[in-house]
Amino acid sequence: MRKPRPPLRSARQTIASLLGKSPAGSYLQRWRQKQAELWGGYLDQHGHTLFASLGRLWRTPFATAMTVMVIAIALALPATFHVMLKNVQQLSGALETSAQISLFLKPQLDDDAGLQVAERLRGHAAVESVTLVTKESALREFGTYSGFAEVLDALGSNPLPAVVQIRPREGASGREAVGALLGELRAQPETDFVQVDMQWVERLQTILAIARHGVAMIGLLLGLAVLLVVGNTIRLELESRREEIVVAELVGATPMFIRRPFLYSGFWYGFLGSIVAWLFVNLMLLFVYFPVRRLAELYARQFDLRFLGLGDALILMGFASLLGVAGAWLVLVPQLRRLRPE
Amino acid sequence: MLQFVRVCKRYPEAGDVLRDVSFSLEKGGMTFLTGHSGAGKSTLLKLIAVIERCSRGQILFDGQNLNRLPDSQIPFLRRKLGLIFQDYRLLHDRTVFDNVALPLIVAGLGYKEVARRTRAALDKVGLLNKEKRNPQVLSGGEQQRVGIARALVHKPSLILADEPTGNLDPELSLEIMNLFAEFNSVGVTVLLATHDVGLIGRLGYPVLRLDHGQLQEPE
Repeated sequence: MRKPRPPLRSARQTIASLLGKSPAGSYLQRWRQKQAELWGGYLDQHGHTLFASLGRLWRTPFATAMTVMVIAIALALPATFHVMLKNVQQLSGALETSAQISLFLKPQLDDDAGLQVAERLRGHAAVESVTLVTKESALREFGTYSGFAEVLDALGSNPLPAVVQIRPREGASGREAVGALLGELRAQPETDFVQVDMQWVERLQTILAIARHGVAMIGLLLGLAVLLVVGNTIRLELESRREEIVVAELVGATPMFIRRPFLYSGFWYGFLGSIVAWLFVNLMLLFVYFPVRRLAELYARQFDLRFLGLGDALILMGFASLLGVAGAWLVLVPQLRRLRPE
Repeated sequence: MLQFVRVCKRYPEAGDVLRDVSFSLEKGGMTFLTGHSGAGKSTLLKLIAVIERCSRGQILFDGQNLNRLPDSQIPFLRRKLGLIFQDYRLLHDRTVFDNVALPLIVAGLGYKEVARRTRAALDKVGLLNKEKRNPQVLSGGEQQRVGIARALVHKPSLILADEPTGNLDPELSLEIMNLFAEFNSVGVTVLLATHDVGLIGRLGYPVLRLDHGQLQEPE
């Protein structure tokens, strides 16, 4: 036997009658009005608290400057390392595209053999361009760069081998492709030995990867330092504003209302610290800008020193502000529990 | 509007401070709470504002059982109360206006409404011309009037005053009492703790007398 189900229609009717006849409609209206009032006050409150906490920092300029400076230094260190890494990376990137293979022919072979080898390699799929450095030009080059021209003259014969310089094709400059090419070159009967300029670029890349990890670690540690500095500053501020907190609690302030100005203080510490850190980093870079450019000129390289740009600066500011708020929060929750009215 | 049913308060270190206290307050009344110092007057007021919770018994306020009030609701209960203290508890780092405005700001009112109501409250206690002063430069009587304005500004349903005239000379005390009487006459419910027996006798309001934590029958 099946039990009779209550008809669905009646439920819908009930809801309809509830909405229509009960004071639900007018309640909704009142609720909306109340929300509008509250939100107006809410925004007033937030705006007021935001600038009131800035004003409070402004009124103790020395203490604020000290805290902001400590935070700025803690932020500037990893940021500087980060920018330096980026610069070195940029430099190594430029080197990587110029990866070059030098194929040294057996010294007893003459320039004609070199010409043959060069011609053969020109047709290779993985090769972009081939330049032959003849024994003669190698000698001249060595003479001008080393200053031992006379010594070589005294030798009578030319001890330098012919060299075929090979630039791998762009797409083939990956490790495996270059490795295959190298194997082929080494297998040639004319080859004495093959030298790849890539190797030290690769090593540099590995060192950079280690450095990146190091910077991340330093960043983590100094981020923790920012957290603690803000936390401790907020703790002192809490202590000095005890009376105010207790009175606010007595007139019905919610815990969030009480926390808010301190969270904003934390925000300001982080934010101001990050701006000062940004200035620090770029001043330091400006300081080394001209020497670095001189060095680049000496190496006849086009190299632009990169500064901490707007994008990175925004990330830094966001991150530091977040750390400030988190540092404040960390202290507020346990400390406010102690500050109950008696 | 306020009812105590066999309320006890025991502190681990001081023992029973309140024993079996039962009474009720009607809306719009003005009641004195008196007794020697240490009789439990302040504790009784603290129980109403849930600064402390009672050990046994029931406290009903506006139909709410305060024993069962969760911590998160305490701020909203306190917004229905106006608290006045013997030591005024004014904040000295801000103006009279900002002190009085605090309960409204805490309740999240918009700035215009805050300004209007704060000025109205200051006007009621006769300090409108001193709104920009720091409370520290005011006399004791004036400071207490700031405290009263702060307790009134959000139109609470019950005002709790703990020895409001304790730090004032008799003349100023009378002035403050008259202020309370005036507010009471326009419908504000007041519970006022004092040990100033002389003052109470002259005014003729109902009196709750505490003795060693127990409520004495009125004579």
